[in-house]
Amino acid sequence: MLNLKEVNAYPRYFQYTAQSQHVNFSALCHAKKHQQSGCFFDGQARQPTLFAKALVALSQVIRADFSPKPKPVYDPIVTVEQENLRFEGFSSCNSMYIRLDVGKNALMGHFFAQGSTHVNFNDPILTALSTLKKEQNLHFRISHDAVHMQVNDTYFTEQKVKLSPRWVKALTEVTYELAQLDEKMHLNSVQSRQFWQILPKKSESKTLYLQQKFQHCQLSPIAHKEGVALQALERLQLLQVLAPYIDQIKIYQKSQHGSCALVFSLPNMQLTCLLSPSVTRGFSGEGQYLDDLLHDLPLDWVAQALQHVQKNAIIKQPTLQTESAMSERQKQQLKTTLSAMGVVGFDLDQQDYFYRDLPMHLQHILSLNPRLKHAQQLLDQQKISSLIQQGQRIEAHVQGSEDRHTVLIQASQAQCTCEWFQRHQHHRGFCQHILAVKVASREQVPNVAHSTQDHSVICLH
Amino acid sequence: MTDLKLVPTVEHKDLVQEMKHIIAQARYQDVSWFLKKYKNGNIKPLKATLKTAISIILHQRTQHTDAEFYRLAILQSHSAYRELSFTLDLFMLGLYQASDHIPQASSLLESLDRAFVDPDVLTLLLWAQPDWLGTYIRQELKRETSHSFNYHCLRFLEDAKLITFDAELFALSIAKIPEMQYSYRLEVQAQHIRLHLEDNKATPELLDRLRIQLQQYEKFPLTTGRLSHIHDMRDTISIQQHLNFYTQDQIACERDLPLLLQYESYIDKYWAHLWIEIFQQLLNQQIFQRLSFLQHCIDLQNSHWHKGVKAFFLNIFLQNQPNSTELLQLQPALFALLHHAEKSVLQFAHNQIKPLIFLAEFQQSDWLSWLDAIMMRTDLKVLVKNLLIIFKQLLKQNSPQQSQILALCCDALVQNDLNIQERATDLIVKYAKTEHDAMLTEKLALYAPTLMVEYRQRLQPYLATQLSNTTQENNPLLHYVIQPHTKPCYLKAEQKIEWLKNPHEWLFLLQRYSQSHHSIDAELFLAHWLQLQTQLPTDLQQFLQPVLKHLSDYSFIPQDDIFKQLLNCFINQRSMNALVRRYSSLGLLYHLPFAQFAQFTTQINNQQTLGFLSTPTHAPCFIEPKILLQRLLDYQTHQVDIDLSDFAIALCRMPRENLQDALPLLTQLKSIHLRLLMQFALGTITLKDGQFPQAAFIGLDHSQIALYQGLWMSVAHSHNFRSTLLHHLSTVPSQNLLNETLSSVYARLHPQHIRFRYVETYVFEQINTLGHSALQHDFSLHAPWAYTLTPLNCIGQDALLAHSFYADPTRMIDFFAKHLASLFPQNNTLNPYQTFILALGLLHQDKTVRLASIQLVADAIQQRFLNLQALAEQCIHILNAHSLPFSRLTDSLDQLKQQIQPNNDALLHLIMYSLPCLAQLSERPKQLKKYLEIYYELLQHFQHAIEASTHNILQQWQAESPSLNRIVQKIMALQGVSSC
Repeated sequence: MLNLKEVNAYPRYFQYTAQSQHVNFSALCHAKKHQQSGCFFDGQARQPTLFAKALVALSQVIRADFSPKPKPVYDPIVTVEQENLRFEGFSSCNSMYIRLDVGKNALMGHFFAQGSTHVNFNDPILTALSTLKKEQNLHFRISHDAVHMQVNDTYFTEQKVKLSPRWVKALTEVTYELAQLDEKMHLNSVQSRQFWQILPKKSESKTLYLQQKFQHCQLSPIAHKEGVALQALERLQLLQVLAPYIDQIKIYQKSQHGSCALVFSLPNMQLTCLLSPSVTRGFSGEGQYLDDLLHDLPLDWVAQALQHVQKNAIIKQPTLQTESAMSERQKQQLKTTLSAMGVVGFDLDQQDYFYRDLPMHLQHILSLNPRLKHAQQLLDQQKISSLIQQGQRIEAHVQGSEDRHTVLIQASQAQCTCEWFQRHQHHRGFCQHILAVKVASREQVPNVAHSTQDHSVICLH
Repeated sequence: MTDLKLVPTVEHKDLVQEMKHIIAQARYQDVSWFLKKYKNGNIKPLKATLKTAISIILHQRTQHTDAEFYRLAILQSHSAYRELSFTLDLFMLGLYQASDHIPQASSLLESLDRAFVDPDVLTLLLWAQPDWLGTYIRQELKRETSHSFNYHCLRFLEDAKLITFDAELFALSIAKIPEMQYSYRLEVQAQHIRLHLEDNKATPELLDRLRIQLQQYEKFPLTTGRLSHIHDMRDTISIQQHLNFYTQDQIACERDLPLLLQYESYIDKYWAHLWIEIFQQLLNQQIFQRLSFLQHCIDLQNSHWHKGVKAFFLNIFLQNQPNSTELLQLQPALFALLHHAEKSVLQFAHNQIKPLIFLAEFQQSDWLSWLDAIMMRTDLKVLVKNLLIIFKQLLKQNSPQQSQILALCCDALVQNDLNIQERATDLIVKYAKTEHDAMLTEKLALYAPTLMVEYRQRLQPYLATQLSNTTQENNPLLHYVIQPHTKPCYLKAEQKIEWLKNPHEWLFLLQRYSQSHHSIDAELFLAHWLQLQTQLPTDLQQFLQPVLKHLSDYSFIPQDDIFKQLLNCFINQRSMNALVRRYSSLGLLYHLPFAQFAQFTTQINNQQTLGFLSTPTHAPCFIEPKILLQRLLDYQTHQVDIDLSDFAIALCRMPRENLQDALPLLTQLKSIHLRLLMQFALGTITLKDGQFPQAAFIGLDHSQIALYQGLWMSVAHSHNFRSTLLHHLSTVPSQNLLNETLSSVYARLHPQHIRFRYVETYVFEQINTLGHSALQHDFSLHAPWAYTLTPLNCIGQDALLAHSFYADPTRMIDFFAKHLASLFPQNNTLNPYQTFILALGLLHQDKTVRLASIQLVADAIQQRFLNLQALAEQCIHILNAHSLPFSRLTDSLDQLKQQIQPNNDALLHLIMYSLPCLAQLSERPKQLKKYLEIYYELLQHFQHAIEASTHNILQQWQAESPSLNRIVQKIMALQGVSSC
């Protein structure tokens, strides 16, 4: 009789992964050897079933495509910190960000070094993870070029893949968004069970408002100022497998028109989801932070801050020796710059940034943000005419490719007659014309302090 | 084969030209020859030419310089698209390697498949040896699940060493069983191979491979006789052929079929019966180990695979009917399904586990550790009840897992279900021991707020005493009574509309308006246009150009926005005749925007900056009296006649607030008619015996009198008759509400002596006359605009909305969720039509509409302006008239219970009012039990006595339906009345 396992003795390798190879999980090698081989972590999950379910849910979200959009990307970014692991990624449509933070109490193993990698989680590994039983072990090793897993008796190696630029771009936006959010709601264990029950099963185009009323949480299509506005909630259905383990849910939102974050507490783990205001709005296309990037911070400040987060894994005050000399605005700009490089993420629970070792440089910011690049071009080509500044009011005309656009900036409000602004209004950051006028107007103000040092590349002029 | 006038030393340019001709003329027969001759040394230009051709022909990119060449060449040669794409596919197969970017070509899979029957394609492939075929096919199959690639062809490509074994690819391919016509193709393929062998043109290596292939095909002879009959594709002969192949071919059944259990593939449901048979035979032949196979079927349920595939394997599992011994071995796998999100899978797992629970080998503790997730799921009430019955048996047997079971019973208390709470409480009270106290106290502290009174009392020993005391003290009974109507405040400072000061801001207003659906934005835009016209640039078209350009790109002109349509005609200097024709048939009300637009164009043409009288000053659409008077004085100063339609709307939008600023201006009005009318509008004069003062119409001709009477009536309806009208409607029985037309209502209220022929200025009458036509044209489309006309009294609009909603509820889904909350007044009162709309919403088939209605009802209860009796009667009337499921009402009430304060007895009143109506129905509604459970819970909660009439109703129902016996007994028991 042929056992299915024996049948599988045919060359068993998985197309996306490297050929299955035996990884010596049983005997932990010398720590130094691990470090030399680029290994960040080697160990087991204390609650393998839960950990496996969480990884599967994360991968499900990453594979999911909530709107008819481009080809799927399967690679979560794995970051190993001093005592934590973080798995993060986006849905294929980029409208949902998901991150699993695994605390040290959920793991048994050794943290050798800090670092990040990004691998595909393909079908075989997901199938193995999703069928993991309670009594079975889940052993894994994370190194700079691969993630190895031993699920039951099978070994998997997922090799590092090239990180999608779209993801990097979206990561920068997500970090900024998360840092802006305020805690709006806290659901206890009973309410979090109710939460899964009231989630719409089918695609729902209308915005629904989540409210807490008399110990119950309720959804309503009618706007409520104390409610949290949620769109396309069916995106969370993929996480329902984790519902039995969720102790509490914290919900964060800045405004009812903006994105919404949900932090699900699992035993020794946390799952953070950031939902964009619509499935048709991927985070990679946002640009809320662009305004903050129009700064003239000295390059060495950025470099110092980068070194600091690399060393400390998280940003703790004070980040820089010179920080006392910095204004609040400059501090914010510095953090936004690091976010825009994709090298830091934001932990809502700790309310702090964490370091993510991605191959990103300051120079990438312009390439990741075409609006900034185009604004630079408008300035270079002197397309701005008749810039009138009266107090906080700026009126300018910018010659576009076809039409002459009018830009009107009043205090923090800015408007433009271009198509981009017409379509997105204030919901996705400023258009290239407004950005260019902002820079041009700043140059006109004589009192703006300009450092004599080299300025970061994102200083457009 | 076409003669090519090419020499081996041909220039790149000529070569490219020839390739373009081959492509455009779809000479696919020449591809192989051409490539063999010229590929070496010319690969770069050939690839570039191919890339261009693909982008032009397959991706329809017409900007390229070669686009015209291809267009003309294709036209001249009459090449069919299918042949063109086949030619391109052959070039791709011949030129590309894995390092190249292979474009997505829908026909490429088909062309590859042709390798199976077309020796030329095969020869080309064997010569070119593309190394990307396997990866490409896999990606295509995964990208589009409807795509398939023939498993036989895949095997053929593997045999020809054109692809290597790729587990996922083979799984994806084998899952799709080829159609019957494929057997025909196999036969053709065999014939081709035979011919090829006879021709003896192929290389010895290829000939050897073909011979092996031929033997392979002849091993499974296929019938071709019935191929012309498409309907016979899945006949028994075909099925038998497939069955034979999949169960006899060693590689298929031993290597590839097990892959279906490892990789997500898309098994065609039409062939499900065949697949079941195949797996059954493989199990019977012991090619698959039964237990391992069954375990895979269960494990798959937790995978991320498509539901249909998972259901297929679940079905196979059930068909195999595993015995107890096997199920016991599969216990861990079955337990893992108990956290599944799908109700059906959970039920399946429970059904498999249930017979094992009392067996010695059953891992009871492990099983119980998986159940906490189920106990709290509200969609699994039946399963929870079943589990509680099992728990009872286990506890009776002194199960060692007593503590675990009691903890699960506590979890069940989160269910808002009388039966479940009762069963769980019974078990806790009966079996809890001292050692469980701490655990029970901790658990129950969480669930106490959701516990029903009776069970909270029974579980009191485990509840923190502090908690229960505090709950009672903080929540004294709120007896529901309707709040007396309070005068609302319309003109709020924060609602004041900012007036724009320069043309740029106005330009951005146009931009914003193009995105908005608020007609008030249109009015504001036009008003600002008039006001700012002297400041606007001379070349207005160019000034507006950047915004207008985008407006024409987007759906700027929705059918439901009259203003946008008018504005579009005006800006683009188009005729408005079509619009006039369309809207004039809809009713007099729709003349108002036309009148307003006419006034706008007149003022623009005369370069007047007076603007409209009706432009709101406060959001959403109110006018401050002082501003209206100032506008009238401006008209007076400029000696411009006022537009009475505009004035009528302005009067309807003007509340009697901030009068101290307005009254001093009254005396400046020279026209006695206007002054008296404004005095009436501001409330400084009242009607004597319901008669308008004679002085109001002195000196006016007959037609003017009618118009002014309309204005007076508009004011009267905005303020004076409101309470009278509501009083009248409240006396109309709710079931007759829709039979009572507005005309008849108004007719009774109109002072009899007032007769008028012209109704342009009597806005309320226009709304009234809208009636039938509005219903035909879906009033919901225009309702947001109609509501802005008479914001102080919208009963006419409400009536139309109620009619429209009642006539076709499905048409109103989007409207309801989007607009209803904003249409409902903020003035702490609901008219009967609004109550009727809420009743319709509570019973609506769409869940979102129900949620919206529940929210509105809860808010109305909270603010105490909902007539509960009217709502209850209307709900029952609608249920009966439309034969709607009674469960909708029960569900709505159940959710409503969670949205209103626990100490507010409004819901109890609502049920009490509805009971007599239910009793009068000719047929007793089904699913009354849940309804009575809610009633019982509320009676108990508020310690309320049932009336004698209710007692009789309940007794009657009890006699009619034994299923209600228990709950009726409970209700009776509350009163100490025996039902026996």
